[in-house]
Amino acid sequence: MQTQFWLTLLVFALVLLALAWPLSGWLAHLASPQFGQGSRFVQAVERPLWRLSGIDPSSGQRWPKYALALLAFNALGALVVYVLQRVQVWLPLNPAGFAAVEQGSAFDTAVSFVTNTNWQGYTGEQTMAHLTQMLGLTVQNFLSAATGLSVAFAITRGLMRRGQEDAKGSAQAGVIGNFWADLVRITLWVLLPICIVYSLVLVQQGSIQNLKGFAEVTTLETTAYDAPKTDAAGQPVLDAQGKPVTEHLTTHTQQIPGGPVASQEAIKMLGTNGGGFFNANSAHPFENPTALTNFLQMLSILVLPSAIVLAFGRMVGDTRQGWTILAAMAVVMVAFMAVAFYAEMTPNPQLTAAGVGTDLGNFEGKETRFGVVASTLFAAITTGTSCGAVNAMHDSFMPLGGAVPLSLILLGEVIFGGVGTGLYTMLVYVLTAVFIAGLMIGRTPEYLGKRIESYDMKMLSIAILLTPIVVLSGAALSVALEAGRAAISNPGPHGLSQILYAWGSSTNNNGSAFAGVSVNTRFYNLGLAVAMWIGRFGTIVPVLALAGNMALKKRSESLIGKMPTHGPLFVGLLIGTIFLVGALTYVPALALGPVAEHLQLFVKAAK
Amino acid sequence: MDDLVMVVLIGVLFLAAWGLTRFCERLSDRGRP
Repeated sequence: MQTQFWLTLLVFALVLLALAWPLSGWLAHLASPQFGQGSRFVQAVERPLWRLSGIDPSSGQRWPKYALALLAFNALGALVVYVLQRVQVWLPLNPAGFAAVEQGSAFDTAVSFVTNTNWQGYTGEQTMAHLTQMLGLTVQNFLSAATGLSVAFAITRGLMRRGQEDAKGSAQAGVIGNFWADLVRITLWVLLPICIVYSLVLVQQGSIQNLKGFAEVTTLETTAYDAPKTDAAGQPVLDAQGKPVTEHLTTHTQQIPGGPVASQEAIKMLGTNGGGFFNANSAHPFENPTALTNFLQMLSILVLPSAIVLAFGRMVGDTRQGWTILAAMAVVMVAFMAVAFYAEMTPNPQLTAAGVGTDLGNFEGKETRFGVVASTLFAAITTGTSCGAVNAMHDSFMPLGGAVPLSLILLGEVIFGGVGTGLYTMLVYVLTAVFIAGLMIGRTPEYLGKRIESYDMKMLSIAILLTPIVVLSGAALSVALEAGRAAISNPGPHGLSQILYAWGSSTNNNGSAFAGVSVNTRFYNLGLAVAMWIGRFGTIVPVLALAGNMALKKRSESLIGKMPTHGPLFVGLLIGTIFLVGALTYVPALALGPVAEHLQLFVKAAK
Repeated sequence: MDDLVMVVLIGVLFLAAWGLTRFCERLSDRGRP
């Protein structure tokens, strides 16, 4: 099993690099002002769009204008998705006749998909009409990913500008690009072409792509099951002890859902969105039908976050900078993957004591088609990035196995991170690392020839501190209030992990759930939606401000007396900064959650 | 009624983010005399 794990990882890394390197060249070209100038095809496609919208893609925006365009566009997106969910009952392409989504859930879902979180408090196949899935959720999957990449382009432009255009009053001074041009070009020339091909591959492998409703089929065997008994009002019937009464039922039919799954699945993975068409997400055979699609899904989550980091190196004119950041991400990712793998290969001691353990490791909550190796790799990849798709139930992982996705989320989605978000959040840590190192060795902190000054550190502080404040305050509020505690299915340390995961996943825009916690309530729907918004735009705004400020600075070309920001030493410094700033914030909460649960489980077993 | 509250909430979230933008802009040392 160990050989399988390391071999899978090696093949995966090689294929990933083979795809990410050429894609990084394309991304760097796409972000340049020269894009499309020599191509009649590009111009023929884009020109009608610019004429229709009245936008001049070559006109540069300073950061406040770029930020306003981005915020207004995303707020409008949230409004459209909200309205779509509320009126879906009257719209076409609703073969199952789903009612309007409840207001709190619709609000939560709208913010969730706009912020690239894709946290789902609802069951997709029982709630959303096909039109809502396509026009609302899938469209936002594209646009939120494009928004993230746009911000990555903006901060890179800020750092790469050499300052020669920055004479005061110059029209180009402080310009970090054009949001509308970035958004359109990323969607049109990166996300759409890849997703069209990817969707067809998924269909070939067995994913469904249709506009049908539920199909009722007769099963080969009659299925017997116990279901909770309900009264005329649909409420569960309770016995004298207050426990739910169940009744024994049999059935020989099954409802099989239809829908445009493959097209949503492709961008769900490529855009590190993660919101599944089905409640079971990538554990569902219609979303993730084969071992090959499972491999492709993991690959597609990481390909753009890796490519944009390498594109960063190309754009700033020093590819070593990109490789250094990628190396830091890879080292931490592999370490976390190994911890998750070894934790999940340890059978649950209580099951072993009961005589039902297995030497295949902890199989609870795992899709049997994928097993422990593919599940742990998937879990680390989906939480290190801001994807949040799942092919196994993280709630059923061993305590330390579950601590891996939780920790990767709490680190701030920097271990590859989301599409664009990974790079710009990592650059926040890079600049912090350079600043700390500058203080330690008594040199002026400078990154890529640009001095890091007071205003930059203020912006970095906002970007770093806002997220943990929201996560820890939200978790504390949930523990303190009955409305928060009522959602926990498993009290004790595991319950705290569930709550911490919910707030961490939402605020860091991951979107995966620890499951087990019932969040489709007014308290969680509203609270988590606000957390998602703050986590997304509370980071984007200071990063854009940083980009604008960096764009105004002259870039010094002299390397004398400067600390190198590439090579193994800087990789170590960067990893140290991430753990120092990101992880230490959450150590007490992690100690009370997964660590305490691990000790309880194994100490009890030892006795 | 609830629909109105949710739409207003989206507006409030936008304004909060825009407020943060203005705050960051005002923090900037540049442009000061």
